[in-house]
Amino acid sequence: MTTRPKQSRAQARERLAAERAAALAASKRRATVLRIALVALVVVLVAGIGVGVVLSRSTKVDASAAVPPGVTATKGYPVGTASKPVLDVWEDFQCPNCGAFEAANRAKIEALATSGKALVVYHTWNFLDRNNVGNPVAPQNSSSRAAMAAGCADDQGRFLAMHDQIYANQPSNEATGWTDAQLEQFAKNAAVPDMSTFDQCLSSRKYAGFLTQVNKAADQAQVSGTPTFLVNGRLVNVSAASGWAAVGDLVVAAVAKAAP
Amino acid sequence: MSHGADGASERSSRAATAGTDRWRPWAATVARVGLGVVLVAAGWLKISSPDDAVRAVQAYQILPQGLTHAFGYGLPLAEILLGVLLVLGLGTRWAALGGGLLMAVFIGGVISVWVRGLSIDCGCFGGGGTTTPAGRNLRYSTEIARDLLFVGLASFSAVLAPGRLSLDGLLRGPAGRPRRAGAMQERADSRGALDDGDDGDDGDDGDDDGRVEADPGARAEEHRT
Repeated sequence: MTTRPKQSRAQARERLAAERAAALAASKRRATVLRIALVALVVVLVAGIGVGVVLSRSTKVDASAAVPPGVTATKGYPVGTASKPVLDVWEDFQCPNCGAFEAANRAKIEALATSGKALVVYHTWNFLDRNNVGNPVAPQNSSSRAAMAAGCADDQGRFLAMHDQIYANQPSNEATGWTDAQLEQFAKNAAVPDMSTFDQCLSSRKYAGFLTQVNKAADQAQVSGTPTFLVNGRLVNVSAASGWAAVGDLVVAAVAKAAP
Repeated sequence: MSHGADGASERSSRAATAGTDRWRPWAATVARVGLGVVLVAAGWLKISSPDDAVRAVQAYQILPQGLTHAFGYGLPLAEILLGVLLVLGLGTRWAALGGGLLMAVFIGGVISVWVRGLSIDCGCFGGGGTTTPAGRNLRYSTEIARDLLFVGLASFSAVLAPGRLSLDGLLRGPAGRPRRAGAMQERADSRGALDDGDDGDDGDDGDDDGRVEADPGARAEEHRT
């Protein structure tokens, strides 16, 4: 009589404790599930936004677009009669370092081509179009327009002369760019024979699609900046050079080393 | 998350000054949100220019060509994901560990580039690619120091997670409750009759473990039992 209620009280306490533990466990499970669900929701949202941004903002390659006459499979302009070794020169017309390199080494590099020591392949990349964005008075997309103008000059066999003209007239301020009228003047200086055809080529943006192919070729060659030099597809490490003339010497040495 | 270790440090801090109790959860929030905002900004600046993001990865010359796109797109998205989780305070401890790990990877990348004598823009906040050697040493050491600071913030966030104003706190399951019940007892004792179990104001203050109480009903039940 005296022990029964005690026992039942103990049992009741136990039962209560068990119920409370079960309720705690259930509520903990609910919280965990909710937390995982929320994390999954954030993952899906971020992934969705990411896919959208990547798809909408990546350069879309126009694989069927017209290419200037003679360009290589790597979307560059070959200069010279040699077939080996191949020196790929990756440049952007707006890149100040490319301008400095050209100013210091133009003769050196072009001599490699003319003397048959290498096939020099110039690539006119346009990744520095972004430089004009921050400058509202600058003509926009100057890298692309200059590269298209070089293609239009190539139509009339004047690529290298046009290339040299553009670098010789590179503005001292990186973000300044060129107007189409300036590019036309450079073409005249480069002795492009048929200026009305050139103007038509440039104003119709004939080689806009080609530039997307150049961009893809840069990606495939793992070129991540300009100027970049590859000899027979292998990167020339010029980090150790002090000064642009020394960079040119390293490139010439790499070509000599790869000579057959 | 290990509530046991959490509880021990909590008790020892409770034994310390009340001032420490007051700022600690807020410091955790500041660290968490600060790191989160940095991660979201860094990720967005990269992914908003996907071509550059891939180019930045290629400049490190670590990964084979086939993986540079996956990392160029994936790393910024991982940063944004971890950053959002940290700002929300959702899975805070794991997100902070992930963020710290990511920063450690970035530090490793910069050191690797430095050792190999490459000249690149780390592309940490967009941009990226190969550059000229000028100012390379200063640039790399600054970047490493900055990323170490972020590793510090990440560790701090992981240890003190989640801090105030977090979804983790809001969603807090009852895992902490048994301990909480005890803590409340202590507190009720110390408060005495002045503040006798009136926790109606518990939304944001007086909750010195830094968690926003989500379920006053459950709490009331604890009082009853």
